[in-house]
Amino acid sequence: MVLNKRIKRVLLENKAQYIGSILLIIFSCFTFTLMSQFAGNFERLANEFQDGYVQEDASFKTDKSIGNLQELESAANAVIEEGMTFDFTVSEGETLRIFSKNDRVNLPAIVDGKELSGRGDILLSPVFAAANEYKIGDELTILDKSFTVVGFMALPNYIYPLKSEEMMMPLPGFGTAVISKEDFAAFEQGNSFFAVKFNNVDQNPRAQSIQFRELLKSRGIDIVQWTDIEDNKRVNIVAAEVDILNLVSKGVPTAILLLAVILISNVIRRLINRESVIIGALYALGYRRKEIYRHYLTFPLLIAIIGGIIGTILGVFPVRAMVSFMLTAFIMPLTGIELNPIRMIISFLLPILFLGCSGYFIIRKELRQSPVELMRGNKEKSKVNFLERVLKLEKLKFPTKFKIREQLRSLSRLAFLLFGVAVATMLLLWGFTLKSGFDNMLTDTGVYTFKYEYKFEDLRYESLPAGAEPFSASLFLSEADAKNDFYVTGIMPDSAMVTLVDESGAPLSTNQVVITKPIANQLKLKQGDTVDIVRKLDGHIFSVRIDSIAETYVGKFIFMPLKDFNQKFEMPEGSYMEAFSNELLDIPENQSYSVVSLDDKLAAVREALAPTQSMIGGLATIAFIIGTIVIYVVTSLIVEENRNIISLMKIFGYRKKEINSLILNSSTIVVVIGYIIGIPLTFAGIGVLVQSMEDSVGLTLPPLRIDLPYILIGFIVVMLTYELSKLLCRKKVNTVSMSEALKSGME
Amino acid sequence: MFIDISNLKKSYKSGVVINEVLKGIGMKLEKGEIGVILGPSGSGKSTLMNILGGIDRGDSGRVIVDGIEVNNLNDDALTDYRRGDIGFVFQFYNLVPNLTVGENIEVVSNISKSPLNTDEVLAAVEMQDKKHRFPRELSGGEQQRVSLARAIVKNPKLLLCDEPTGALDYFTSRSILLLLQQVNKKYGTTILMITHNAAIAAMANRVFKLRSGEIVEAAVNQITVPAERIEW
Ligand SMILES: Nc1ncnc2c1ncn2[C@@H]1O[C@H](COP(=O)(O)OP(=O)(O)OP(=O)(O)O)[C@@H](O)[C@H]1O
Ligand SMILES: [Mg+2]
Repeated sequence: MVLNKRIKRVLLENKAQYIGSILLIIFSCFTFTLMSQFAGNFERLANEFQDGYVQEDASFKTDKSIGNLQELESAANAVIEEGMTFDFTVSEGETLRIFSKNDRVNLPAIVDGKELSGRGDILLSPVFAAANEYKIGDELTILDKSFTVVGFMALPNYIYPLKSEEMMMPLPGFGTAVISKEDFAAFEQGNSFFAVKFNNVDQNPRAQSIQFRELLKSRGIDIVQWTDIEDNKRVNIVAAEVDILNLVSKGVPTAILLLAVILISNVIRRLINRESVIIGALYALGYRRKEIYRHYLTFPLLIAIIGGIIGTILGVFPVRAMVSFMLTAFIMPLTGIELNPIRMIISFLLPILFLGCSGYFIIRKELRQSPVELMRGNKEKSKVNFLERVLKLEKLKFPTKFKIREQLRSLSRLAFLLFGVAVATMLLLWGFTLKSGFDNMLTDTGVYTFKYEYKFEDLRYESLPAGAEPFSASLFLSEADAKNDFYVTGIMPDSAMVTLVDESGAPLSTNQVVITKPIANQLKLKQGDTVDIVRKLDGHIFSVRIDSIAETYVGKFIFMPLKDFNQKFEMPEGSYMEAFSNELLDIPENQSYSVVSLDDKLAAVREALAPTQSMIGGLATIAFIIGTIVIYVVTSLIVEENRNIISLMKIFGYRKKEINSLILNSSTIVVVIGYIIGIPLTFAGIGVLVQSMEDSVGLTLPPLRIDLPYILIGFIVVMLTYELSKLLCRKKVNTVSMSEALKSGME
Repeated sequence: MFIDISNLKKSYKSGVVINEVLKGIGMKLEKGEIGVILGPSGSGKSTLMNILGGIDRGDSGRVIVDGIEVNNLNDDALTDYRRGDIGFVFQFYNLVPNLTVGENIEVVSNISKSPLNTDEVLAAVEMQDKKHRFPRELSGGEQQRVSLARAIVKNPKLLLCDEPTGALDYFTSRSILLLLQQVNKKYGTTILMITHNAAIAAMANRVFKLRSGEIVEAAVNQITVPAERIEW
């Protein structure tokens, strides 16, 4: 059709708008493809690993060894394997948790190198090896025995290699290692634990876990520690990560796509309006409605197809790099990348569907007029909408009036600008909130004033030297919420190691029952309430009266004096399980323990900050680009629509500066409002994320706040994009000639 | 002399073809007079008026308006000249569609040093009751009145009107011409008007006939006819 020869010309005439639209579609498809393929691969790798290498359903420790494992297995319809472990300090700040190799549950997956083939071989976690510079073939001495690193491995129960479950972040100096059972036995030390995998795949593992514990009890075996895999923070954070990725992979691209839809609808409406006279003439010449529809639909479809193809293809490339990067935090074998064809097709088709539909409706609405009406043309241009009509602006100064009218003139343009700035703001502030959160984590250590945290394998009674305090802790659940667990911790009354404050900042005595804010929020508890809690280990129910609530977000804790703790929970008098200390303690050889230093925890947070920093940089860049596209497109639309007024103003003797101020600065208020709207939207978006974190890992974050400097920086960034767009459009304003108004009549 | 043009030349080049639009125009108009330019389409009327109004520049020759040599002004000075001294009325009104009548007038008073009162000029064109209407709600004649009000609100020295009645019917045209005459009397504004309609020439002090870029006749009317008595 002859008409189609115009397409290229029309596209070139309004380059900015069409390129902006295509870029938005590319962004949308890029983020969708990248995030969804990434999330899909991550989830698939996790599932393959957990199934293929027989991840445990639970792990436990008992007070005595289990006599006949085989008989117990068949009675419980489960696979049970006893493993051995101890922590070995290779050097200062470098700790290996050494396991004996399992054959039936929690099998190590070889990531690089070979399997263990005999004595003297050792497998290391690849992340530990990389952080501490071990290569395959290196020698390693453990308790005077020499080992050769034959390969790197991943353990299904140590995907997220936390040193202790109370920690939020893995330590760079902590890793796992696997040696043969024979080598381990030769050390003649370590603790034993059991990993159990239930055979009945149809029944809920938690229910089987409860039955299994009953079974053990009935045989007189006492469980001293029990962790269901769903509660295992070294594993369940994977599910949380997948949830977050899925959420982001839907939310961000949808927002950008909607932005593109609004933009294209605007552009098409303007195009048709501008050409209504031609369209009317074409009708009069005998063109069919269908042919005209098809012609105008070409524009949105072309944009959708170009943007969709480029964005989807670009999105595929970084998937492998992203997965590899992810696997430096989550230790799993990378067996390969699979692209989900359905998600590829969705990524490609979604913009076509969105733009096609919105384009069709716009075209139908605009072309419903009769040929005569169309030929009369330009009606839309001088139409005055409801808002413009009712607004009483008389009292205002002319420039203010003019700017307000300019913005209200096209409500869809206004919506696009507001929405676009809000989306850019959200991306920007989202990054900043993460950074703020980490900053606060780094500085918010006021609660704990000790340096080391010791955990003993067996109950201890010995008194501790000055500068150290004993404590005990066990995991509990509330009766109402069986998913999110918390610690009840017995500490010294008037503890010098744990300082708690109330809402007003006044110090709280630890000679009472104090609960931290996250758990008070979760269980909706007030001061003076009594709550029933369930000990996870054995399901016993206790009731506790809350004396005070502490304003701290370091974790979910109920603190009480150690003496009361022992009494209430039927622990031997004077016993304790853990200790806070400012100095390294002198512990007799025969007592096994693990120790974590607070500095290590901070180091871990700092370590974790590095990739976040680059992610924030990325988000800020995307936000900047989207902001510039949106503001530039709107500004150029404004210039385009105001050519006549600009020309008139030039005739009337307006100076360049005055025209720029009236026309280009008219969006300032809207950009500022868009930014302000973006702030609560950011919090709402983060709220959804935080909620999903809570639901899947039970991790409570402090109420997220963005520090004021970041809000200002964000504002400056958004205003910079605004200034940049204005600068780009200034030239457009300058090129409008005075003869334009002379040649045309506006009404 | 308020307007003193001599030997003004202007040509447009399109490719190799040079189109001489003004071929040495000479023209004079006293302060407070009404001048009318007549001529066939394409004879260079608008070109001449644009140069006078500081929208365009002549190639050579002298254009003096109230002592200012317009052809020698740089861009900024030209802007100031238009801003301070010149009022424009166009054939197709050129009102801003999304501004009300009052606001359309403010577009100009906004940048004037000592503008007249908006209500006063609206009253002068008998449009005071339509101040809050939008242009599309007005008839062509009403729009031209607003356009006239907008041109005179800055109290210009020179009012340039390019076919102000070109799009209007007989009676409406006459009312606009009447208004122009009133403005001329009331504010002493010098007015130069382009028209195709020879009958209108009767209300002018001076009449210039243009043909192919040359003034072929410049007549002085000793007696001007009031607009309401002009007929065609
Ligand atoms: N920007 C331009 N570039 C090239 N030629 C031009 C330009 N402006 C005007 N012309 C030419 O100059 C000549 C005079 O044009 P002008 O607009 O002054 O005529 P006019 O007398 O006002 O005609 P009308 O009565 O139709 O308005 C025309 O031949 C026109 O083609
Ligand atoms: Mg003309």
